[in-house]
Amino acid sequence: MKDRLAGLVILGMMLLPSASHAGEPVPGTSVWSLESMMAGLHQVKAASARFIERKQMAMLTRGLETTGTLRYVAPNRLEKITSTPAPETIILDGETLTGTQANGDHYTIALSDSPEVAALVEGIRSTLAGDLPTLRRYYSIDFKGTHDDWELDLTPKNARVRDKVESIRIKGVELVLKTIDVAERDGDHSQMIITPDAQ
Amino acid sequence: MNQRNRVALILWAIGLVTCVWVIARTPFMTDMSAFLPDSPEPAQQVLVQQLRDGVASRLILIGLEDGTPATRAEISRKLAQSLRTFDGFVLIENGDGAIGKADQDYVWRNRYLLNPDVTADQFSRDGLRRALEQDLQLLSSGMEPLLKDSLPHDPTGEAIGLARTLAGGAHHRVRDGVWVSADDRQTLLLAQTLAPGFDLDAQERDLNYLRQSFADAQKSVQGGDSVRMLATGPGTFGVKIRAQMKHDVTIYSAIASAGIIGLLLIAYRSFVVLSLTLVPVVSGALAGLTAVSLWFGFVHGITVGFGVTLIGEAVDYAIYLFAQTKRNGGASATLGRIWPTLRLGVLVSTCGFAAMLFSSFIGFVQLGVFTIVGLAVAVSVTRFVLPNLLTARFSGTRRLGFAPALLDLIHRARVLRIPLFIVLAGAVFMVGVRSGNLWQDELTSMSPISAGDQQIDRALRSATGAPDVRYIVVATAPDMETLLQASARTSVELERLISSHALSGFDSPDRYLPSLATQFARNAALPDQKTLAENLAQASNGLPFRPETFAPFLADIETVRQAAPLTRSSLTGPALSLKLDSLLIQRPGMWAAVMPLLDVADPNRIADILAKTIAQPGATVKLLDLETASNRLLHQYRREALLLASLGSLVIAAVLLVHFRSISQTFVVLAPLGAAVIMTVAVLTLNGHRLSIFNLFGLLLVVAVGSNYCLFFQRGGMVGEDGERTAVSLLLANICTVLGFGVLSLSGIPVLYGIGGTVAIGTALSLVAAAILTSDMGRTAGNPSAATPG
Repeated sequence: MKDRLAGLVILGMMLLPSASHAGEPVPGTSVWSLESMMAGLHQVKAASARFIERKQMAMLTRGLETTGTLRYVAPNRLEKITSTPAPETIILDGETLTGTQANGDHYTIALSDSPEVAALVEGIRSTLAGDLPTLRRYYSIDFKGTHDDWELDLTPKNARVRDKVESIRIKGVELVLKTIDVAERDGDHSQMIITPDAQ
Repeated sequence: MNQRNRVALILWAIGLVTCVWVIARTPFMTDMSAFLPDSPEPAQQVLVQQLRDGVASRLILIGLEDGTPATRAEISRKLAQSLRTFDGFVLIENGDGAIGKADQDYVWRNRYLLNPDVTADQFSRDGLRRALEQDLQLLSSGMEPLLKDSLPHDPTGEAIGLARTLAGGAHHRVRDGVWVSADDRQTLLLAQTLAPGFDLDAQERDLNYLRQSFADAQKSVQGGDSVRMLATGPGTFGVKIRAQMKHDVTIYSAIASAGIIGLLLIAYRSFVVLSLTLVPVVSGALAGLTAVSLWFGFVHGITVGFGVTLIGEAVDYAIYLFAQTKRNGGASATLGRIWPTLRLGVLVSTCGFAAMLFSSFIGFVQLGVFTIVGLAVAVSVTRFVLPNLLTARFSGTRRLGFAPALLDLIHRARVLRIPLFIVLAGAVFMVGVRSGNLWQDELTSMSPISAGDQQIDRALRSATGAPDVRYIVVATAPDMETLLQASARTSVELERLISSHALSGFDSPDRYLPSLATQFARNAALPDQKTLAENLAQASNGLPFRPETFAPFLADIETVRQAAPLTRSSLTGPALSLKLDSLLIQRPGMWAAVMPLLDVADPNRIADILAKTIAQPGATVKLLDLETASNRLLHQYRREALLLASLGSLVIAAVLLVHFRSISQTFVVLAPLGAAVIMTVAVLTLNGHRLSIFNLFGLLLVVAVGSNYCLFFQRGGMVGEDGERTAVSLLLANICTVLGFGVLSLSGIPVLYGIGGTVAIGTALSLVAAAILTSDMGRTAGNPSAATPG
């Protein structure tokens, strides 16, 4: 039972919020590299944004759309507050994930419960925190583009994670995340479009 | 050496060899259950079984402290891995989620039969509509992937709900993949041993394996040295107490032996005589063990420990013989004088101990057999063997310089009668006042477990979510079906009690194997395939689910509908089988369900509610308080011991009466003994202390040993060199007893200081009381034979 739940949780992690950042271009960087971008993200202390997330699933005849807000507070707090179609809250703080579903159910998950969960969570959080070593521990990274149109392709290193998630592709402009695309092994796909709040 | 003596020696030698041969083939047991009553009542049998080998008694709670959390997690994993390979442990849990596929499959496949929430309404058009709407909402939420794989099989979410139920209220915090305490300072493991908690040998072996595995894990992990391991649990405590007891007994008996040997050497000035002093008691012990072995087929470790103590009286026999033998007097002549008294003394002791033969505790019966046979053999060896071993070299012991003064003291002791009466009256008054509150029947107050250890145990227990050791719910019924139905009803009540915070969780056998009635009811709630397909089609009308999505759901439901009901043999996974076996107990003609509780906060409320719950006809359900119950058991045990001891006293009085054919002579023997017992009780309870069962044991021994003193005084003849020698032998015997037992009273272990203190005080008081009351009572009572020795 536990394994099964853990498996489910892993999947749950994929759709974790990612925040966008309204940051300054990194001064004095003429070459836009993964390292310089991460160093820039590391300087971001807090950010909030609105999101629209669209999912395409084989079992549904049409796509699902959710909207809400995202918040990031350095170094390790993420909040995803969904407002439509049903209210839901997910808060990741340090090692603990707590959620409240539309029907009032609460759940708490310790990330360290499973290395797979940690992998997926760190995929997004260490990107936001500009923590390159952690990100590398869990993913093979392919980084390309220019500073005003970059793309970060993450491929899970852990085989069990790779069974579920083919890749996470984050696109952005400077230090602002714009979209997060998650491609699942079974062909399902989701895209989150992020619009930063005015700072 | 005449023919008869030679025969005696040969018989003795053959006997010893036979005894050694038998004992070498005897299984010795340390199973404490021999000292639990063999109760005919089924409810009590369950209780005794729970005390002995319930799940709670098999748990070792392990906490790792200090070091970094990551290091502890690594050690926890290695430790669990190592323990899982060892036969002594049936289950190791540390949060790493290593539950087998067979167990997972059982839950997943049978989710519609196991989930208490299954109702017909769930599968109606409206019910399915509600479920699908919620599914859609969840799909659009962050929890989507949680459902995606299982949704086509389980749109009503039975599996997730079931997972919550099976967790049973235990909430574990996990860090780095293993259990940690709420404050993150301890890494936790739970080990369930195969052996019951009372099987101390097995528990010790398991503990040693645990310690070795921990040491190995420490070495293999960097920084592992800084991590400490705490382990507690009933078996662990048992092993610890036994080790402490062995240690104390070894130390204190070494001290006592040194003292006694030194004393006897001073008195005898002969190593030969000293070693011969031990011949009767050793022969008696060997014969006693042999008798127990032949009678019961095994000997309990405690029988050996207490038994040797109880026949310690046999050392006195040799002392009486040697110390009363004059230079050139010859042992045979001494025996001729003291034999009638010795014989009567053994008879009296035997009567006292015979009461134990009627006990309902097999451990007591063994002790009774051991002491009776042991004493009989010891006195026979003193009578028929010792003189033959002596003849060549022994011509008697020297006359001690202080002997005349001692005898003079005894002759003048009668002046102390008035003070003795006053003290005795005081003692009678004290004991009388406290008679309602004289005995201590709380097991915990007699527990040798230190407060610190108990504190650690409580903390680890609450951190690991191990079940409460004190409270359990027990349901009984004539058959398994009725029992499972009763536990299902009880579960409903306990769920309500959880909401009102009377407890935080529980476990019940019907979670893993519902009653047939429940299974039929749940099965009946599942519609046939056609109806279900129609309901589903109508329910998904207007929702974006593809029609074929829920084909697995239809198939799964049909499979469950067609399948034979679950039975005990359906559980093939090891973890759930083990769980069920620990919760279901089969007895001849009766089944019992044990429902462990977590964090019991309001036992009275639970007991009240359960008492009001209408159980299944033929079934009973109640909250068992193991502490109160075991105290009651102890109370019963102590009462039985007291009753047997009182009966033994009556028999002793009867034997003396028959022997003396004189009430006054009987009184002469019993009066000092009675006075000594009362004064001992008064002394022991002086500071408001209450008597334990161990004190009672001690008093039994006081009567056995003290009666010999009284008999020697009653015999009279306390004049001349014979009188001096009698007085010296009594003093010597008593000093040995006081030394041997007094030293034990220094131990911190209740059983040792209880018996040790009682015997030391009681025997000394017996001797003093006999000297004061009997010095010339024998003569004044008009026993002409007593006045002239021999």
